[in-house]
Amino acid sequence: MKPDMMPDQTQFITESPLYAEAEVADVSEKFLSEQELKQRQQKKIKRIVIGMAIFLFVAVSIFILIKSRSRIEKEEDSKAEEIELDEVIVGPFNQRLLELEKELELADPNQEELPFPPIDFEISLEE
Amino acid sequence: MLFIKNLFLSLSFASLFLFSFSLVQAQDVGVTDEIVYEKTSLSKDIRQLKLQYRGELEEYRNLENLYLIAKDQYYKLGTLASLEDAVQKTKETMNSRGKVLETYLRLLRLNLLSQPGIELPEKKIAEQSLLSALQKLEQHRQEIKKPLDKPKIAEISEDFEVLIDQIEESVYQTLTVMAIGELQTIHDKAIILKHDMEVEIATAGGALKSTERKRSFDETDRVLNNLKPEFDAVEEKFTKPTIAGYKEVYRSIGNNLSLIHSTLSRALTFLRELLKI
Repeated sequence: MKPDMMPDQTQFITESPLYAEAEVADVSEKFLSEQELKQRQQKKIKRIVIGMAIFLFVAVSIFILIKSRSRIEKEEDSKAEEIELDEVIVGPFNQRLLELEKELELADPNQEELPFPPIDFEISLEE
Repeated sequence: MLFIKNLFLSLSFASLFLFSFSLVQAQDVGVTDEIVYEKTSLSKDIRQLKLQYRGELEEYRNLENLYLIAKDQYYKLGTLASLEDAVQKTKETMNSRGKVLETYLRLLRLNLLSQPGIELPEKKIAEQSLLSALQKLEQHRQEIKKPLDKPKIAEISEDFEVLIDQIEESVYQTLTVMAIGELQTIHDKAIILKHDMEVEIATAGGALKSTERKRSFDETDRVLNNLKPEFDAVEEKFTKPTIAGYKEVYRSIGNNLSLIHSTLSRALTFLRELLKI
């Protein structure tokens, strides 16, 4: 027989409740002192605050992620729109503008294209 | 059954649309071809006349030098031979001057006809004036071709002084109407271009860009509209010339035209900037 074994099993059964571990949670609050109660409440609040903080952190992270993704998508869309604007719309206007600029260059009033011929108006044999 | 009916109807509409579209396209091509042909033929004539004008001007300069030398010799020597030579050189130079003027007037007329943006009555009046000057110039050249002596040369020389005033009037009337018309055309085209751009791209690129573009379009509009009084002032000077005639009108509108030209240049720069916003 092992030394830590009780020879009388009947005694063991009757004393078994004494060997059971006391469960703190089960202990009714009315048996706790005021300080213990306070500590217990503070612990609870601490857990709630930490939980809330983790939840908020996760929620904010998800929100930022979604927001930045949508912003990138918007930027890509506007870039694509600009490229489209450049190629499809601006192209013909650019051409027309170029032609107008050329016409304006030729129409400079300070540069006469057909000046009066440089001829002598008084050709004669008189002195 | 209903599906087949609908399909048939839609196919008929589609083919009708395509047919009418191709007809419109064909008409457009025809009209464009006609305009291009007209422009090309005129510009070809203008190019030829320009070459002819340069050649004749060069010939005139050479003859003018010979005439001046012969005249100088005549006054130095006073011999009959030197007089004969001077008469001959004067005659040739006068004829060459007439040819230069004639080609210049014809060149100016073609330029006037090929230029858009001039009101038809004004164009007609300027053309008639050039044709009348050409006719008188032709008569003058016929006179030069006749046998000449010193007194006859003096007479022709006096006649030419009267004739050149008429020719100058016609030339400066045409140059004035062309200068105004050229800038007026660019002004009109700039307004149309600005309008088309406003319709097409004003709202593109988001609200922020739209606001910026709106401000820029408004500013361009102001610049283009400010030109209207300038054009009115120039038109007023042209339609009511002073006693000094169109030569004076052409000289006096120079500043107005320069201002119009620089303002138009600014408006086009604005439009170019607008395409980059």
